[in-house]
Amino acid sequence: MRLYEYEGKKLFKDMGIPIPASIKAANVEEVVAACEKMGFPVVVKAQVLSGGRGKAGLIKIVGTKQEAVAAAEHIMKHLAANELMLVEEKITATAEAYIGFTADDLSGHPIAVISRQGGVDVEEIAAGSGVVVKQPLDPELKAYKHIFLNMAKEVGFQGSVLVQVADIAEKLYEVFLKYDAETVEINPLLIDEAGRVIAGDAKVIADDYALFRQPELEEFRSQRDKLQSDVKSIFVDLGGNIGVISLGASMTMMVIDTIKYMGGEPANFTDVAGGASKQNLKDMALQVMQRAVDNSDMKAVLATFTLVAHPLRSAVEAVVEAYQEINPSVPVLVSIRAANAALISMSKEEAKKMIEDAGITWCENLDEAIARVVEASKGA
Amino acid sequence: MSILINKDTKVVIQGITGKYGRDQAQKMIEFGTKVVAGVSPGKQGTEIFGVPIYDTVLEAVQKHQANASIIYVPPTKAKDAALEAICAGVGLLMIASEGVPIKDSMVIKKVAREKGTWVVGPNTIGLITPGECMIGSLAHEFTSKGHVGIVTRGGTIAIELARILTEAGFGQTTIIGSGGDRVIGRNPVEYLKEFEKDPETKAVVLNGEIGGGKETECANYIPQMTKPVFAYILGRCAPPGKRMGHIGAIIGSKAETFEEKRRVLAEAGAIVVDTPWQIAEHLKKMGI
Repeated sequence: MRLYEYEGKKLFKDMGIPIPASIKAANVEEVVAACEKMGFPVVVKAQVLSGGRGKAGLIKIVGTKQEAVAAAEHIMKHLAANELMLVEEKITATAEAYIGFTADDLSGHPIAVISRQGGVDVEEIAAGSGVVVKQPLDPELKAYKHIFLNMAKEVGFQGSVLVQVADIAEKLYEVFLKYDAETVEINPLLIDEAGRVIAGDAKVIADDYALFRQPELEEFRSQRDKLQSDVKSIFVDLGGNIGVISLGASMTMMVIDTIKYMGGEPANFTDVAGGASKQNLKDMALQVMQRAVDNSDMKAVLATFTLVAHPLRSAVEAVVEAYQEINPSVPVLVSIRAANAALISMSKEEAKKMIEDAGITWCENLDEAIARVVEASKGA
Repeated sequence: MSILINKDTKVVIQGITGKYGRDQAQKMIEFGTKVVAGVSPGKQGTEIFGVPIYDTVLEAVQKHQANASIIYVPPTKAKDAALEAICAGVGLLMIASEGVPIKDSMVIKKVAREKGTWVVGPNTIGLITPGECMIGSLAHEFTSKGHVGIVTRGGTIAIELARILTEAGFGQTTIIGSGGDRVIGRNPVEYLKEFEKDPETKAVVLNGEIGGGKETECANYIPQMTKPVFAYILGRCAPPGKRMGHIGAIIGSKAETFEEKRRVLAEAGAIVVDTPWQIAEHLKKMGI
């Protein structure tokens, strides 16, 4: 779960990381009120989860009420329901730096990154240039101050700024550990005329798997729209015309990739996380088939499973019941392989009969099923 | 021959008294895996399917010389169970649990490295050496003995690749689901190294996905291999920034894209395939 900037900054502030003064605003009036309270100039920032806000005009420095209204009106157009704006103190920075931590997927260590240059292209700065330093950390060690001092020194920070950067790095790493983050970043880390070091932005990506022990993050999550990160079931719209009902993330990717490779256009990726009940499978089948009814561009639906332990009967009934409830006009093809444990509930012959009796096409082999559904999607 | 597990592997099941652990225990025993003990704190002295239950992994290991363990506990308890097994000295540990926090996985990986335990997963279907030993939930009837090693990220694709190759007449040495999470005990490249050393393995199937750097790490090693590697990458249709089921299957930077992974693997000398059926066609031509 990615946090909004204002959520991330709250965690930063609680940890003692300096952030600019700010007020949240939900509409133009609240932006104006916040500006008047804080005094111009201020920065109006869209609170959205995508990057590149600066380039998209979603961060505006405003010096007058008129500018504030114009900025807020522009930003409002890009906000989803319940998304906010942040009116923030304008910091006059003489330099922009970067501090980040991420869980490295290869070594399994947290990696610390400190860069003397911040900005959008930190990843592009070459290692060995003396500007950026990376270091793997021991996830269990507690003493980090000296590590961060050494790192900040290595990229050229000096004096009071050096001490502040190391201190902020240490606190940011505490945020990373305390809140089970996958990634935390301050980019830009602002250094102002007086030599103060302040977090200009906050990027925090929390680990969905750890939310059970993070009441504060769970609170952020519960405030959000339901359509945001829902880990229970995953549905990705791929824009094509072949609906796919399948089980298992990697198996489903294999099916949609093969459809695409053979010249077809898959409409969706789906996955039921954490155990597939008959109801879960039926809900998935209903969702995919309903789309085939609602969207006239849809040409065909493929339901395909390789069942190890999940009962064959449950999978067959889920598809047949969904088919009978929705009654889609596009062809529906079914191809199922079943291991011994799955066959206890129903034989392959019975499954084939039940599918065909319902008016659904049964395909013995998966490659044949994919070829036929692609062909069907190209028919008139 | 095979890698990591064979007919002599003695397995402990942690969480054997839970419903899922019990079902999986039954399947492993039916297959012929030497399940020597179960662990469930507080239940020592009881049995499940004739398998004795112990309070601790240490006792199970000491009494039965067990050298492998599989964990079927909720993800919130996986770290404790894993560290217990690692500290009890099991050489091979499989963590089936899906949903283990990444910080816990980092600690498990670190301690396992120090103690020399080979950790498969978390979030894995397990591994199987056909005809000898199965640790996890693979459908053994879709596998057959032969000369192809398979390592995957996801679970269902491991079964599907084995099934398609078996159907085409190509058996396997060992099949491993390395785990769908971002941080896993052993990365795919480490399985490639084991397959390279195994005299029975004549070709290796490497399945990867969009997201992360694990395939790039393989590409750095493949030039040193003498055996052909078939690289089958999933995520041809994945839009950037969307999580494709697995927690790790998400495209961040350019190096994590489908095209880029295939490019570096091809450049490293891997045979990059578009579908699993193409692997069988290649094997036929190569006479493996």
